[in-house]
Amino acid sequence: MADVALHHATHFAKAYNAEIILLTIVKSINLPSLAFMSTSERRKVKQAFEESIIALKKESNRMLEKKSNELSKEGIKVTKMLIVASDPAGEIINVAKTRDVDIVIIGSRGLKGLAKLQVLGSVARKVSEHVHCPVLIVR
Amino acid sequence: MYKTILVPLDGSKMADKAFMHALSIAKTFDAELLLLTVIPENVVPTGAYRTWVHPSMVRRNINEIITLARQEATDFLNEKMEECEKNGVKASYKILEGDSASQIIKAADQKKVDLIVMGSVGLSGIKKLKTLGSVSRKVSENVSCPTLIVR
Repeated sequence: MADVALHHATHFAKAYNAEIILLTIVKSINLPSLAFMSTSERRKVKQAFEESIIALKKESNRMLEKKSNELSKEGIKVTKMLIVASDPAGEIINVAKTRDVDIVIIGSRGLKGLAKLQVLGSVARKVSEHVHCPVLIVR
Repeated sequence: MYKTILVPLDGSKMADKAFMHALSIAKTFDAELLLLTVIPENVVPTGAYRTWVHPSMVRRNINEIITLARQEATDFLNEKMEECEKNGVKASYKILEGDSASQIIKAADQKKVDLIVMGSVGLSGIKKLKTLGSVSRKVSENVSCPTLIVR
């Protein structure tokens, strides 16, 4: 779905001579309380968690790199952004505001969607409701 | 990319803004605009009214209201059509009756539009809360084509 959104974004960027900000959020979660664990176990859990975030970041970075190279080849100016956050929708809204973007182009659902029910995913819904600028929901 | 763009208009400021966006997009992508106004059917007075007013009179008055709304909508849409023409954008319009959201969705499916451009809140919205109006929410959730929500 995000690829379709990117496809639309490419057309927009070309037609309006606009810059694209590629934004990926690596979703982090809060760890449950580890109070009943020994110090060494706690360290192990935390380390495993941090490693998984690092691995995710690496993979996301590679994906961003690939997409931005493709766009650059077509002569579109691209900025890559990778953010680790627990609230993807809030972060998207934030970036849209601080970068003062003209339009947000987003897929109707992301990785967790129920494709059969044609409704909005939680992130798309929250973004479409709270972002300050026009938003294009792609499906 | 975009050949037909559906623009639902209800006469609100936000819909006007959506129209301006749609005009710009149509111009850049060489697309055709389909302007749509839906006249709500729910002007039927309920319950107690029927005790005092004869049903036939209610029906007649409703028809009068709808006819009036249709005329006003036609004038309004013709104005918009002129604006399209001035900008060199091909456009057509349609006036439907019924529930706004479902008529918009139906029209989008029937005409196989490539994009819907609509305002985030219409005439009954609370603008201070920057959320979606009921119509734009329902449309953006249930339609099968991309939706651009303007605010």
